[in-house]
Amino acid sequence: MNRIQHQVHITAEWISQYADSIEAPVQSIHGNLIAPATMPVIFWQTFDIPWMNMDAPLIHGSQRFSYEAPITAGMILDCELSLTNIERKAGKQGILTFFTHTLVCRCDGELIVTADTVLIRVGDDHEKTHNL
Amino acid sequence: MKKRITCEAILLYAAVSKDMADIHLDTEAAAMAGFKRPIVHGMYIMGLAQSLYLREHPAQWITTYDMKFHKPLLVDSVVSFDFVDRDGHIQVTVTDENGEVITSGILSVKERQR
Repeated sequence: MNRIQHQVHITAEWISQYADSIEAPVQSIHGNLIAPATMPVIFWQTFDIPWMNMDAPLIHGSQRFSYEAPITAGMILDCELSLTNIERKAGKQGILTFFTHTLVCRCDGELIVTADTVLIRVGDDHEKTHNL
Repeated sequence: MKKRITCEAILLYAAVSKDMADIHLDTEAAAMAGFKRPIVHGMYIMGLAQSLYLREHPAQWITTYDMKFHKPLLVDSVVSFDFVDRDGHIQVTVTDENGEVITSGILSVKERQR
């Protein structure tokens, strides 16, 4: 099954570290630091993704974030990452395979953010991707 | 606004994001893939664009943010970040020194409670 779940604990230190790396201004709400909108992408580092070899060269095609509420320091997020679509197209450099992933994060059952990521593999090397 | 994307910034982003792919960090790996210099992480550009916008609009938070990555960007390039407000949706365009669009998209914002 191309779906994995994982809990992500958001600390003020992690938010600060990420914000520094993209020069984001410090923002807070009710005294808690707000995570920059793009931060859920680095949650990928906490997942062990069985269906893709993330060491294989991949191009980031597009990215979308949709928030119901900001992510703030102290939240424990229940995150689910799923592979939602695979599409193959012929491109100038050969076959392009588009992998659409959706990351959904909830806090205490409430939806916080949905993040859609399209990764593109160039070439027709099926061995680089597992369990499809 | 214009900004140079430095190697140091990409090293820091790679360490924090744990995206240490050779293409972002190693000149030889970049050369093997046909590039003169390593490639900037797309998510670094997307992240930096939001940071530059929020620096000018500190009372807002981003509710949706959608971007497409059109072209690779080499590290140590100067890029231009442009923001155009279209009825509350902000069109974001990042162009390189030749005026080619690297990344573009739309972000939507709300006023933030303090």
